[in-house]
Amino acid sequence: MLQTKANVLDARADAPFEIKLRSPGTAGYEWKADFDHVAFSLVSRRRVSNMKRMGASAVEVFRFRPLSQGKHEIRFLLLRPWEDEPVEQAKYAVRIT
Amino acid sequence: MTELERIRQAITTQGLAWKAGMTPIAKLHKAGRLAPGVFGLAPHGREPGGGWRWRSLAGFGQAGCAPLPAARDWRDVDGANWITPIRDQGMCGSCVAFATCASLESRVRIGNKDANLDLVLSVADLFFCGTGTDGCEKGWQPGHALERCRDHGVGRDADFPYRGRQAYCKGIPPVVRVKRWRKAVDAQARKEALCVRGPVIGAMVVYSDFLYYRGGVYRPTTSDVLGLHAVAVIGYDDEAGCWAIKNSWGDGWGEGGFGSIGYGCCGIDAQFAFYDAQVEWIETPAPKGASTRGARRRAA
Repeated sequence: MLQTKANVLDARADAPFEIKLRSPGTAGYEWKADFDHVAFSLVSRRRVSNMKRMGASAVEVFRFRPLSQGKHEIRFLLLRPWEDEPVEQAKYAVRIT
Repeated sequence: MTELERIRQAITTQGLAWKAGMTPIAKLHKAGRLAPGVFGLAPHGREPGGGWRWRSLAGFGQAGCAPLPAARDWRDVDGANWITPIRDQGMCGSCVAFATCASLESRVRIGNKDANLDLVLSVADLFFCGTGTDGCEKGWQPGHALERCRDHGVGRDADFPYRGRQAYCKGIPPVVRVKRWRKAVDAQARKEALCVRGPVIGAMVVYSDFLYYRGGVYRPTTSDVLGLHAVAVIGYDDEAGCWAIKNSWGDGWGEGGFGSIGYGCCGIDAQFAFYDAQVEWIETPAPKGASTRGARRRAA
């Protein structure tokens, strides 16, 4: 069964916001963002990698810009590009005011 | 432009010799970022020494490797495959343990001149007993893994199977022990270590496009770094200019789980040493009436 983390986030319409997700650093997985492009634009994505130990987990930072007011969802799937099934998902209910 | 399209375009533009691919579900939006790629010569933190100093084999007439051949791939040496099957680390940062077990398994096969020797080591035993309760998140270092193999040995996978997530240590009897090890750092030493004794433990910087690797000689098209990763280096090819690696991401990645990393790429032959271990297959004390597994003893 797919493990899901649900979160709620408040954002202002005139200010970009960030979502940080922990990921297995070098196990072949990456987070994919799935969202309504009318509600948000993905400004940037960066990784904060642990360069001290092999295999250490990392943090992926997604920066979004709100495009319309209201309540919208951003869904993230953790998966390997060569596999069909995500192993984890994270949902963010974002209320833009 | 999708991530895959960007990678394919970069491969063409840069004249690289590898293929990129993915499955349909992963075709979601992604924006990339170029990150600085400055690293030390070796992973941070002190590693234990292996009690074995490097001496070149040049002039020692080692069978089959003097002079060094232009290519060596332990998937096909003397008509036999000395590499154990590809495995999958799952969502755990246990790559060091997988690379270590892969190297030791092959070296026991090679040392015993038996490519079909049935030996699957317990990655779980090595990793979870060696790193404690947060190893999946924190990762490891090859020197520490080899130290664990020297001091405690490694048991069979059947006695403590790996599940892909953090687990508690479970004491099982060892079947393989490392006697000593050393680091090969120059090109000649790396190839000698590979050629004479078999697959070594290596490491590399993983870039985000490495996840899309489907074959050929890999060189990164981006500087977007995921982290440090351990792999078993199982061969080299001077003509193609690459190291052959056995990864631990299952057989769906790369070429059936294997890959080729270009010379000078990703720190594999510069920032990170090859770990060359001397291995001993040890007897397992068998209960009365049970068959004796691992009855042979031989250093590899």
